[in-house]
Amino acid sequence: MAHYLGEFEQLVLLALARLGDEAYGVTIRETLIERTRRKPSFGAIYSTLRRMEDKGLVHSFAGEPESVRGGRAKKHVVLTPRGRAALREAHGAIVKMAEGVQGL
Amino acid sequence: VKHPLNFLVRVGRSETDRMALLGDLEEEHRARLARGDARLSGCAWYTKEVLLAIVSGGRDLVSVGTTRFALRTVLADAKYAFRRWRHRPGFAAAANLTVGLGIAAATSIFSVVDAVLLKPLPWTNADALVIVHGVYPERRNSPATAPTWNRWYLSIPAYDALQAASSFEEVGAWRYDSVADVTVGDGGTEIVNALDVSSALLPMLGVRLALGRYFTAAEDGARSDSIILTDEIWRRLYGARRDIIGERITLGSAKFNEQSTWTVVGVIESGFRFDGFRPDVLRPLTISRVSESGSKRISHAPALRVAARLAPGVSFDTAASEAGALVSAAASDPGEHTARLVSIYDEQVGASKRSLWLLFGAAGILLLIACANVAGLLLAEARIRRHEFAVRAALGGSHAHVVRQLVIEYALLAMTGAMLGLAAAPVLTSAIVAAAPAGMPRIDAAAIDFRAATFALAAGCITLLIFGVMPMVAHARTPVTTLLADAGRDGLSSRLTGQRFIVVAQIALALTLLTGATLFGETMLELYRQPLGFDPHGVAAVTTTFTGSRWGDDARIRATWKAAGPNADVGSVMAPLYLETTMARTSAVLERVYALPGVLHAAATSAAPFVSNPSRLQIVLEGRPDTERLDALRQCVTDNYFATMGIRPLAGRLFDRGDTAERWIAVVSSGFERRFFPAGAIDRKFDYFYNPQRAMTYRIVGVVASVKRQDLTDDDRPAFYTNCRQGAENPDHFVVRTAGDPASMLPTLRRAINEVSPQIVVTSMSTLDSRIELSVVEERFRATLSAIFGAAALVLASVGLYGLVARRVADRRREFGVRVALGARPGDLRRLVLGDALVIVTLGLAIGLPSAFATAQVTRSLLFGVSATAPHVFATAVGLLAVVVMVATMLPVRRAGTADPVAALRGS
Repeated sequence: MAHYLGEFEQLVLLALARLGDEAYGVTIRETLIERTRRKPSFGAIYSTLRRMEDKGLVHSFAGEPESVRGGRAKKHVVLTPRGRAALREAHGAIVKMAEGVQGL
Repeated sequence: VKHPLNFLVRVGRSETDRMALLGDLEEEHRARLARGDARLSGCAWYTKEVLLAIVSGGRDLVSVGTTRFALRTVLADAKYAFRRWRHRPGFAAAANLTVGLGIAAATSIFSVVDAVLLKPLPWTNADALVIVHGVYPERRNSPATAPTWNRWYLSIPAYDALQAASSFEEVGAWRYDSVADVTVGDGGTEIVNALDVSSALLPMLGVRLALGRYFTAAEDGARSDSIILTDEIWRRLYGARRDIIGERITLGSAKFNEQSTWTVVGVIESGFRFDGFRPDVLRPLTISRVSESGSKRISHAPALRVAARLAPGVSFDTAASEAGALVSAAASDPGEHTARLVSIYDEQVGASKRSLWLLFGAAGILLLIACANVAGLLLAEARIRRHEFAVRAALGGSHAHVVRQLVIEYALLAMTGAMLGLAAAPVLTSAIVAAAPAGMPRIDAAAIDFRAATFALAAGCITLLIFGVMPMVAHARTPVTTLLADAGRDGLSSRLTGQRFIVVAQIALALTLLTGATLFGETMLELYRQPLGFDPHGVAAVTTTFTGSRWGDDARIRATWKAAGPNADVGSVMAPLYLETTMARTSAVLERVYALPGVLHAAATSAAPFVSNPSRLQIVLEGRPDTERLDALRQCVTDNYFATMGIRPLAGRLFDRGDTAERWIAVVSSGFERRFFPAGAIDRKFDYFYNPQRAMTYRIVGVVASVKRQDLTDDDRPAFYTNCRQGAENPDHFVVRTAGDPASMLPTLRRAINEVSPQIVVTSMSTLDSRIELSVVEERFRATLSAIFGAAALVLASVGLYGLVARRVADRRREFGVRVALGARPGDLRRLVLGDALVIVTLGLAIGLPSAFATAQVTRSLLFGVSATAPHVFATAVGLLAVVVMVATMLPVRRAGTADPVAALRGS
């Protein structure tokens, strides 16, 4: 296993995979709320992204400043091949573990 | 979203992350508001997110290896400190409370200083705003006009000239309508204050409107009926109706007995105050550049207040010299008057500056003394803990370790002190605000806000530095071997140099505060010692405005005109009518008031002391040339005035009912007699020129004691009284002497006066005692606060010295035992300890005296009746301090005398 991924890390990476080019703080959080019914704080999302960027799982770049954001730029985030591999591995493990388990 | 904690989001994050995170928060916040979330819940959500971001950032930090270790040890040290405090609750409480109280005092004064002096004024770019005052050198010649000679009004031509000045970007003017107006709203009559402003003024200041528009430039010249309401009156009289714009309202002017209708064009946001004045309505300043008679002569009478905004890049001095030159050139007699600039900041808060900074300084000194106490406590603690430190050193603990432990303990102390201070500060602040003089601008905005909290934290850090450094240095300089060697013994050689130094400093600082308190206290006493000339106890004063016709009803006026014939002079026909109407009204009120139970005396006057100013006129004494004009005050009174006020008659007679026939008699003050007729004033005469050609000649029939007029520092200005029946002044003020508490009579008086006629409106009422109190409120404010600070300093210094002496005695128990064994008597031991304490006190006083003297010089302009160099002031402060702190040492001194040689020798 390349990297052990925490549960929240997996969820964020899945959100990134789902969102593609559209991924940044607000959309990531929206996706998480929509699909998991959890309400993570922006602070938690940013801390997780920072950690995963340090591990080389995601890559981020700044967008243009926007007035609706009080003149601040977005931080766009995309999956790196490494991140995608880690996600695949973690997901595979879950699927394998769940295989044949009754009553889920 | 400007959240005060935004800046903390950077904890554990890069700047790009921080900006992106805040951007996300902003975007989401807006989306929430757009979805219809309430502002409050949006704000709560934002705050929660920001806090979570800070927390998660902090957690990231901790998860980094070394930092995590550091934080762990810090936490462990903090826990250890808390445990120690639990075991020594007395020490912990004393240290924490002392720091807390010091910080509370400093923080609450800071919150007041901040609100009054530091917070930016509510105007747009207030730094560039100036007030242009008229400077009239010849006004200096008369005591009545001297106080305002360089802050007087400007004339219309001067205002016109200033508008052309290149130094100014914008120029605005205003004028108060000094006479209360009456509006007829839904709730009957109500007095409102009007401010007339030029169209440029409100936009220049950046006054914000809740509704409607500003006045337009077109409304400046023409007679306009536009009116802007302030938030307060809009709410009170019009129920905050948003459709008020365009509505017509009626104002009547009490002065001119006329009514006018106005169209509401705007409503100003709440809290509007300008030039120390809180108007209810604003009207366009219509300046008549053509005189009533239609001639082109423009009035040069000073009538306007002018403010201006400096053009970009123009310096204050350049603008001041240009304004001075323009105004001087515009005067009817060029050079007769000129102008000067005062920044709007100095104009609005300048007067409170010195007082507040002084108090802030006093609070700072108090905080220092508190720090010194805590430093003393900590030094003592450190000595007690030598054993602990020695053991730690022996077990391989480093110096650095112990110092870190101390730093953390002290930091905790500073922080809990700051928290305690913050908790207590709001109470102190509201007490200060309640005690502050009414005229202190913006003080009601004083509150413990984010800035004050920052200040408290900063003060906590500074106190930490001050009280922590000495014990720490003391520890770091002690070699481990000494620690170990010392730990077993009580230290015969304990000199306590550090503690001695601290107590000396405390006594020196306390002397400074006590000197200030003595000076302000003595000022207060001196003020109360001033003879008033009247007896204010039990007297109520009521000010009224008459809103009806001052000449009686129309039928009477017409009948009088008819009787006078077509060629009659307006003045001579109308004047008696005016007088008759006024006196009838006044008598009716007095009759009604006399009928009230509990009323001993009642009278009417044109100016009650401490309530309003009498007229200031120029008179010419009998036998002197007309050019020799002298200043005098005049007020009219009804028959019972002197009895009501308790003003002592000195010679001649007072007014009575028979005075109607003989015109122009006067009763003069003893000051008048002394100054103008030292040989006796009775039956002497003087002239008052009410216009250059016509004079009234007054004959003096009586002399009464001089009275204070405006405040207790008044010098004795010559004054004379006329009988209201002889006209010349409006007896709008009523004074009533009651058998019981006059304050409880006020509602009854208001009802009684309203019953006489609804057209007599009571504009203000109070007891004379309260008016006199009001006149000294600023002095009282200073005296009270400085007394509190002085007392606190006294207590802290006493505790400091007590602690030191007690420790010395405890340390030297064995030595004393030996001394007793060798034949010393208890008295010798007591003298030994007392002498030691005396040296410290003397040293403290000697060091404190020069700084107390220097501080006293700063207070000079705030003193009355006491000199800042008066030896007795310093003697009082020194004596009080010396006695109190020496009394504090009595207990340990007595204990020294009970040293037991057996116990001492057994101990060793």
